[in-house]
Amino acid sequence: MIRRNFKSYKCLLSYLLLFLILSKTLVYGAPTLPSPTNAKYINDYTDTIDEQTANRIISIGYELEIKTGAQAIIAVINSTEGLPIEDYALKLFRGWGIGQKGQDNGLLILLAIKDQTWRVEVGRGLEGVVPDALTNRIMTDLARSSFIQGNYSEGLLASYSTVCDTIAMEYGVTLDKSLNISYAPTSPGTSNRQNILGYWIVFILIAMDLILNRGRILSTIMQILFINSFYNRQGGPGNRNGRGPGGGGFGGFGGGSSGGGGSSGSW
Amino acid sequence: MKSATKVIISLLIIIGIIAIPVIGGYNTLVNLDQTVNSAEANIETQLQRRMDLIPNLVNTVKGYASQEKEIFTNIANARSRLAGATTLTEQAEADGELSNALSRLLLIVERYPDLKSNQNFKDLSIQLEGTENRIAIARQDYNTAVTAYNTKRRRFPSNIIASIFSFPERPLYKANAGAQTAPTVDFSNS
Repeated sequence: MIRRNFKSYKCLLSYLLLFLILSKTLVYGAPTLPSPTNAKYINDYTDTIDEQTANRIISIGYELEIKTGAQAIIAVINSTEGLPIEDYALKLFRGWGIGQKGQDNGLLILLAIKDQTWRVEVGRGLEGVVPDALTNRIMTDLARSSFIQGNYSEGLLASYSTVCDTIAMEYGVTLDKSLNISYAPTSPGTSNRQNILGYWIVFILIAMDLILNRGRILSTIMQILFINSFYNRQGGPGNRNGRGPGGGGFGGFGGGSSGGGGSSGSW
Repeated sequence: MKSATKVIISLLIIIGIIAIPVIGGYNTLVNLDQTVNSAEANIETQLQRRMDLIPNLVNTVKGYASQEKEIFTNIANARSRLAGATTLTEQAEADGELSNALSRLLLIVERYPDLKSNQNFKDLSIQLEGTENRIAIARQDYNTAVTAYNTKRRRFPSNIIASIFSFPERPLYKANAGAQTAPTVDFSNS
């Protein structure tokens, strides 16, 4: 009887814990996130962006992704429903998984029309290319005045095109579809130096394993990696087999993440 | 002889049956522990980033508002306390102080219109804002990682493994009440 009580107590406790964890996340995620639309690069849930602009944005975004792999996405919503726009943008960014997995080369421009706020969320991989101050300058210089006049399409296209040009410049390519607004970017991103010594040590270890140990360690590592990647594919938000855009033919998002880079502001 | 081999084989099988979940549980704990470590390192990176930003910001403000000595001293003190902090709790406290001092710095800007329209100051404060946001997110991620680790550590089969291999409980990051809101700068009237 005591045992039974103990068991149910433990069961209750773990349910309580689960409930607490869930309720904590639920409180944060009060507004439900919209699913990405077929247009992939422009997700307008408010019907404010005209079709011509939307098509232009899609062609710029598509060209950027083809040439560099970076994903620049726009989302236009009505309101964040009380949530700070930074939190909403992060949720959307991580939930959709913008950018390639591991590279985190995604960028999200979020507009909340009714709240009159914007946020540019930059993935970790693009933080060096698109610094916070630059995102803020682009938005205030190229978009803010249009937003004030209610001309969202124009402001969004100008800022989006400039952001994409900045990314393309870092990758050493030019975009034919962009507006080519001449906008002096700040200092270019730092190139990460690679540790050659580390690669050599790994190489020697693998060679030693292959010669002395018939590669047993290597095969075990490979197996573990294989199993891990298999498990990783099973769950988690923002993966390929999620709710990616269906008929658009652009492919889904890559499962990238963001560490909170970018800036926000209002108009 | 034959029965001896049978015994050995069955013993091996039993050991195997015991060993596999032990190894699995151990590895899961190590993975979760590493996630916590990297999340902790991430917080430190962002805190360092903010520390590096502060001198530039302070110097820019000093050029326009040199008479606000108290604020500069507060920032310098908090900054050196944060640099000397060793434990996570100490770090959280010093960090809260620094955040308070910084938000006061950004508040005095209202009195100096020249400073407010200075491009360098604008960029620096946006960078600071971005860093505050990154710190907040790094902390959220850290706490998520710690919760996952601590839960695994205390749940039934893995708690035995945790106690055998002595996996310690990791503390959650609790920010000061005043430190929860990042200072924001509004340029809308400039």
